[in-house]
Amino acid sequence: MARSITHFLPLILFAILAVIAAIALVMTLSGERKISELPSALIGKPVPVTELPSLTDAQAFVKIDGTGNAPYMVNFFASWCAPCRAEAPALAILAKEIDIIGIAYKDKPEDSRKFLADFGNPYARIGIDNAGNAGLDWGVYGVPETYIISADGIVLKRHAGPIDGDNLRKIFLPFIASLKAQ
Amino acid sequence: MIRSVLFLFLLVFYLLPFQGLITAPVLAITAEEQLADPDLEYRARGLSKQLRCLVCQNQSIDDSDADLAKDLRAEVRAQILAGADDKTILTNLQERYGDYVLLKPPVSLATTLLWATPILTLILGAGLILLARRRKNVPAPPPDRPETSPDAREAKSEAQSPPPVSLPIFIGIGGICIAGAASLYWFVLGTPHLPAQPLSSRTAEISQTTGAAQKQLQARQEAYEAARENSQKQPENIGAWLSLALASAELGKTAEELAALRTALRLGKGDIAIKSMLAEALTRAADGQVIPEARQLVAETLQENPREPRALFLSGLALMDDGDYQGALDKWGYLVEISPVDAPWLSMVATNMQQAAKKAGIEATSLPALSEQTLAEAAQMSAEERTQMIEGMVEQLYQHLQGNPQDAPGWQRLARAYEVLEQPEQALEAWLRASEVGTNDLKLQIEVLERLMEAGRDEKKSVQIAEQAQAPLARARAIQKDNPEFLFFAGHFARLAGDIETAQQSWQSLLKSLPPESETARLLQAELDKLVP
Repeated sequence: MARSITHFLPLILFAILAVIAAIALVMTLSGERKISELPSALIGKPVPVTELPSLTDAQAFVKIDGTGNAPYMVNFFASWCAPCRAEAPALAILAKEIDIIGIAYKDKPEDSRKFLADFGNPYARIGIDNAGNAGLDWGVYGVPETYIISADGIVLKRHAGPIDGDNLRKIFLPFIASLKAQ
Repeated sequence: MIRSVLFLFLLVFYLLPFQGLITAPVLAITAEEQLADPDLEYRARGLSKQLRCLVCQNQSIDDSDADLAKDLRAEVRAQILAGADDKTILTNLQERYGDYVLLKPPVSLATTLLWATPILTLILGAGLILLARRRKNVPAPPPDRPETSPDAREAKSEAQSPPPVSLPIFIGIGGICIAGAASLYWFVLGTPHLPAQPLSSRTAEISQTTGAAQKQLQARQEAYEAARENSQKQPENIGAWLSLALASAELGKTAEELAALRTALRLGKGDIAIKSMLAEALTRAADGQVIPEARQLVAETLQENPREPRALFLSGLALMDDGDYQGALDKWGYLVEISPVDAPWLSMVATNMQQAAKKAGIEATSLPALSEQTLAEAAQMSAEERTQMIEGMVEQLYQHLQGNPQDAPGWQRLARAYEVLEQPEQALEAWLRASEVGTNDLKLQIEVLERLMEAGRDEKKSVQIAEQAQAPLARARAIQKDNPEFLFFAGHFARLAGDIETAQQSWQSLLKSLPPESETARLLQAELDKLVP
């Protein structure tokens, strides 16, 4: 009996590994497991306090901190970023549900303004982050990136990459609805 | 003496086609990003190698050209300048970007399995060994079916070979191998306290075949071998020893560099150019501390030439070591004053001045105009804006010179600024003006002659250049009569003018003053041979 186990030991080990690999593969192919999804360190933590010059009002500043009375979204965008154009329709829909603060990441203000004129302005307020310092504080990898912040200033969700119709329906709208229900 | 050393280099560079022997290393990091203080920069590089470029994912930010990597490099340096220690910087970034930003995963609940894998493998191996031992002690099971005849039983047991002992041995050896490999892995590669080993450093060690860095290293190695051979062949040739020093420095062979420089200094009979080079090498070898020997060399250099930039810089550094910040500031302030606007050392001097000012508690505003901030602003400017800034400075300088045409250093600065702006004709004109008014400045005259030589490469202008060179050449000869370097220039410009006879005469007499077996003499002879059609 012992002999037959040792005989089959390599085969058993291989089978276990093969099953693990197969599960991972199926999950990846079905989109359940995203190998490109990037972890964020900010989830569950207070927002990095950010104060940026306003794009729309040269004298004003856009301040993001823990104070607020409703959940809001922070969206990093740039005129030079093609996926930002792609997510413009989704942002327009979301803007009806929740306040969105835009941060023009590494972009010239005049270019940002033109971008908003061309693709619509979904933002309640817009800060200019020309040097990308706010991006560093938020742990931004690249634009577009979107964060959902609770009313008391805790980062609840982070989405890297454009918001398309699919994740608008499956992630954003339900999540915002559940926030409002609370 | 300094001139003749320079002359040797000049000759070699003129006669040999310049083949891009000195090339910049292929790095993602650019010169502007680097900190002026080499210690801090070293720290920054070390940290950069431990941080992941989040968009490329398997490169460190030190290796990556991505924008985000660049931002992170700048952030690391900003935090270093703000005085944060390495651990704090890593923690700060980890708080924003998560564990993922660290190339070496920290020990945490989630990474336990990762770090424990070797140990688990070790246990598995040990288990297999035990299993094998147990099997060895258990006798082979009796046949479960009675055999029909003893003969048949005999035949069957023979057919069952190889003998039963082979399996336990096989498992045992396998177990030992696995256990050995696992412990090797754990102790050599796997323990959490080992330093991070980013891909770049590993590949640099392993791959000796491809990659520009490899080729460059190889080229440096070859240059070094050649220089060493050359210095052994011609132990009396200063140029050979200086080349060896340079090649050794490139490879980080400090001891050899120092030895070569000392030999060159002995041959050069105390040439101050070599003295200051040796002082700098000594300081580098002592991690930026100006040791007494270097101080002595600096003092000697400055006694002979109070404007020698390298020595001035080092003397400021020595004063910093002594805690005399104001003294260091004065020295460096003077260095900034006498340096041309585009001198490569200015940014380094400015950063050092900033630090000295901070230590001395002096307001940075009282520093000369070329503060770190101005330079940082200049670095952030677009090429266009930078050109504009230089053009503005040139305009100012030009106006000033219209009122003070006797200001030879002013003309020199103007000429250099034009060179930066890539306006060679204006530059040459300014050089000629400088030569006219700076009649007593031998170094200036030689510099002008070098510029003319460079400009004379354009065949369309060679005759005109040869004419223009006569006045500076005469001025240089008026200052120092029998400098063999001038014979070289005289021959060169005569040839440009088409006066082969004068060229031959000058070079013939130059050849007589050279050691007959030297490389320089050989090269000059070759040029002489070319003169005769």
